[in-house]
Amino acid sequence: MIWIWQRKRQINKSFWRRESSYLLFLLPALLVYVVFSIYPMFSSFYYSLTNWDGFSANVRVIGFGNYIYMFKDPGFRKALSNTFLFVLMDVVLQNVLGLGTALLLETKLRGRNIMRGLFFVPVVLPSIVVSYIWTYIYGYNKGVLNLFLEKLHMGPVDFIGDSGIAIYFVILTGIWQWMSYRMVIYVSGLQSIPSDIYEAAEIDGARPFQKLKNITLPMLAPAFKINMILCMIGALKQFDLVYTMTQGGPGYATEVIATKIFREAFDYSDYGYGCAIGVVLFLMIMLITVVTNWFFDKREVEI
Amino acid sequence: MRGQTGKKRAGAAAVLKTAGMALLLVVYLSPLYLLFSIALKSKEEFARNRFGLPAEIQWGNIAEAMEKMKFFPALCNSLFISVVSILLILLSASLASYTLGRRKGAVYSRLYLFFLAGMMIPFQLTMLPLYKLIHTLGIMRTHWSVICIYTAGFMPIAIVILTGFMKTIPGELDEAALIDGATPAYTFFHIILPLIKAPLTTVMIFCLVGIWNDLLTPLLFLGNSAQTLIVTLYNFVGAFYTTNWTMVFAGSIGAMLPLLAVFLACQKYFIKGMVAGAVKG
Amino acid sequence: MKKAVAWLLGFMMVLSLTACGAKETKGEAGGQSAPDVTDGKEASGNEEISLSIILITGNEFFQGAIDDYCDQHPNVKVDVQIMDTESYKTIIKTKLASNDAPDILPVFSAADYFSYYENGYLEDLRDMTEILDRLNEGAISSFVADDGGIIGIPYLQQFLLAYYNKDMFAQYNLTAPATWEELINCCEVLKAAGITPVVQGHKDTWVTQMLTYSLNASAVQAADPSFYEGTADGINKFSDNAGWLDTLTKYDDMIKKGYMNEGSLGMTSEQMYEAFINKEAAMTFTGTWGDASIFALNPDFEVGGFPIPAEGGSTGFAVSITGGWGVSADSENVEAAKDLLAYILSKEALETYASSQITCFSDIESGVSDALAETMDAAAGLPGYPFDDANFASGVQAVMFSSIQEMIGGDKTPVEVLNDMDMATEKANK
Repeated sequence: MIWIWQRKRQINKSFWRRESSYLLFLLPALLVYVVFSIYPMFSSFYYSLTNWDGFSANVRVIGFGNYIYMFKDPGFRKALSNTFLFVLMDVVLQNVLGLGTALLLETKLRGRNIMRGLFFVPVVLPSIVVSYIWTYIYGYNKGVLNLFLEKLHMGPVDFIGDSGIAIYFVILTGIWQWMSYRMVIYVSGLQSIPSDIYEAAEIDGARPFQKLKNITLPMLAPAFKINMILCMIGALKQFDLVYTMTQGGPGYATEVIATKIFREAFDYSDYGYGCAIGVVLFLMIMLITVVTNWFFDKREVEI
Repeated sequence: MRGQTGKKRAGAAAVLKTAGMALLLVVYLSPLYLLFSIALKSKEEFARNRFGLPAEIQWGNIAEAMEKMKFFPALCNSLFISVVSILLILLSASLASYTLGRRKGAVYSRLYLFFLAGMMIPFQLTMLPLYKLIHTLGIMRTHWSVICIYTAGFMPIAIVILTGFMKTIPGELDEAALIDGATPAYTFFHIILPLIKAPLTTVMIFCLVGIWNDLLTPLLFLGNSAQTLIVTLYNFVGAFYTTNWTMVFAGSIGAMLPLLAVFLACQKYFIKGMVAGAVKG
Repeated sequence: MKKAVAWLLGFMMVLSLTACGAKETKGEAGGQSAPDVTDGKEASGNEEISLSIILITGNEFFQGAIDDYCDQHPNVKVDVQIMDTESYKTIIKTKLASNDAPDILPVFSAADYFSYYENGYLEDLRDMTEILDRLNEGAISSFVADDGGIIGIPYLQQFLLAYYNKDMFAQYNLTAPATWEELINCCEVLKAAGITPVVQGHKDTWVTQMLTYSLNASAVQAADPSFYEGTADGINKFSDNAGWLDTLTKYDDMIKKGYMNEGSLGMTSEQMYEAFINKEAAMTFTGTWGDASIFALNPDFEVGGFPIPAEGGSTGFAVSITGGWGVSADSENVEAAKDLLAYILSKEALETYASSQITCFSDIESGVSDALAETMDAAAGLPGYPFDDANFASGVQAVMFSSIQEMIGGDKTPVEVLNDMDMATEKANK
């Protein structure tokens, strides 16, 4: 914030007079945003430097102790690796499935719009409903999947109770829910590619695969970029689904950064440490967004 | 007659594709079939027949679940909170993006980035300080607590979408209005506002889905008697002695129906809205 | 189409504003706290008083008493919120931190709650002598703070036990075991016959305490009563205690030998009771609150109970009075809250509504089930010890839960679990 104020002093006064009404327009949004988003965030920065437990009257500053502890904390490393797994699987699977469905939908198809709408339904469902449905499907004793496995004479699998595989199935549920979000963005991207390019290519004798590789994919770069960024941010911030399905368990098998923060702040009464993790998460999100943005800007195709 | 067989083949291919896609869709949405079929079975039937269609559709289950979880007050709360939050967001964000998108100045581009950063703040980071703040302001356990939080929370994405759109409106409109002696406020309300109906709808839909389905914020900040639909469902399921899946799912249907109904009715707008929200970012 | 959306929204707005206008008077009554109210409002009187209370699942029977109170005092409205123990323990922190706690709240005899008291969030209840005098001897001891203040009033006596299916046991000529060796023998026989000996719902973290604390009553507390005096500040380490290691090793053993159900980590406690009722297992380890769940499912179930025995016979019994009621110090109606509390803990109220529970009050007859009676008989004469977590530092119990879950899943050894608990103690004291 400091550099904003320095710059403002440099701007001459007539700017202020001229822009006064317009600056006033900014006020409501700025006010609410600063009070309810920025101030709490800075508050958390401060608390991350303390060992406050969340309710005591006394707050003791301990400098960067929380951050140092983070490096040694195996729980944090586990949460980090699970979160990265989330990001990896989400980015790959959501986009592959989303793009695939989008490509299929953008062909000659009857009832295309209705289908697109129906595909989108899981996105509109509340996360807890999704988690209830899938917890039922994954159930060990009488779950849907295990009943199928039984019919195939394969042993029951504890999908979300087995610490080795639980995280994968939680991630898969998330992919089921959010894939269509990627799909519609790709659909929009596909629709914005002018058809004359395809026609020109066909005249030149291009086959479907070549069309896909040389026209469609490059021209989808903006859609790719948006989807990558949204997908990654969503995966990094992931909380609702994990919390309602497994609470980060069994043990810490499905712990992600957001549930780790929650656990530290509430279960362990170590609010300061929870804030520190939150700050690190924020920085990670910023870093990944900036890098992805830069990466794609270099590759954007000029029409 | 080469053309005709070509057309026939194209027609057949289209039908096959449609059938294939329909199959894919059915598989994809099959968990929802589970949701509905179980919700509408009686407890006894569920014990015997887990996957088939209910022999007797127990619409009563949904009514029972809705009654037990105090559906209508919760629905009102969700509605009130969503509507007020969205109105506040639309008003303040459009005013702000008018300035950010149409006025020149380094201050504005910095401020834009400032708002943009808000999208990266995880809720856990602001949770507890917000708690103290809300209490200090004396609005704890009222609807206003979550309304303020949502307004601040969705401000970044709203501003991003609206600013992007504002930039595409030709600047001559403003200048013409100013020459005629209009104040900036007049210009905004009478000239610009009518032009941004589309992105406003986009923001509205984006916020609606986010606010309606949110669990954590109302869980922490609303008192028991003013809870939203989603939290009510969460408490309803949590308070069970035994895992009564028919009730869990019947309640879930109740909780998700309002938004789902709106979605199915305005499907095109929802999708356009989500896309625009993403693409302009 | 745009018009339709606009209409829809407009309609929803009108609907919400009118409907909510009507509902708010009903629904909001318990939620809003009146500003600047002077303390000392009596419940009798004509001013409207709003009180709020949280009930833990399993204690819903208090609702009856609360309703009676409201009938007798029409000017009092009570907002009742029901939640499970774990959610409560999480949410209460935020509520206390922002002075938003309910007027009457569940208080446990654990480190956190003494902290709350020391930070001024809980009322000192030592002046409620009418109620306190009726308590059994020693019941209040786990709720007394360092300065002599009383942080909460306990009401239920709970202990840990193993429920067993009488028919299944009879079928294989088994009787309730009195030693650990006998218990293992029962498990062996049942397993050989193709029956799951014990069903546990380890997805719910609290279930991991059942076997642990039962065995610890003999292995840790009876063996070395002074051990727990130094655990909260980390002077006595869990990893140095032979009893703890023995207990966890036995737990691990039971899992490895297949005496507990497969997939226990994915099973909730409710599913555990269901499986037990459906004869999918012969035993389940839980506490006295299991009665409510089991008999809700099947009131005529032939079930017996025994205290989980130690090697060579138990030397201690895990009895606890960890749950009590406290009053929030920030309540605007402290006197009214105390009045309500006195009522729901009164002899008449408890006799009417808590007749099947074992209370800590000396003037109330407890009508216990056969299973509980059988267990108490078997434990007669054994010294009772409170549940171990009353002596843990803040946050250690949560770590214990997760680490035992990892042990059950085969990812941790008992020694590692104890190390985790030591590290958590260190962290809490840093």
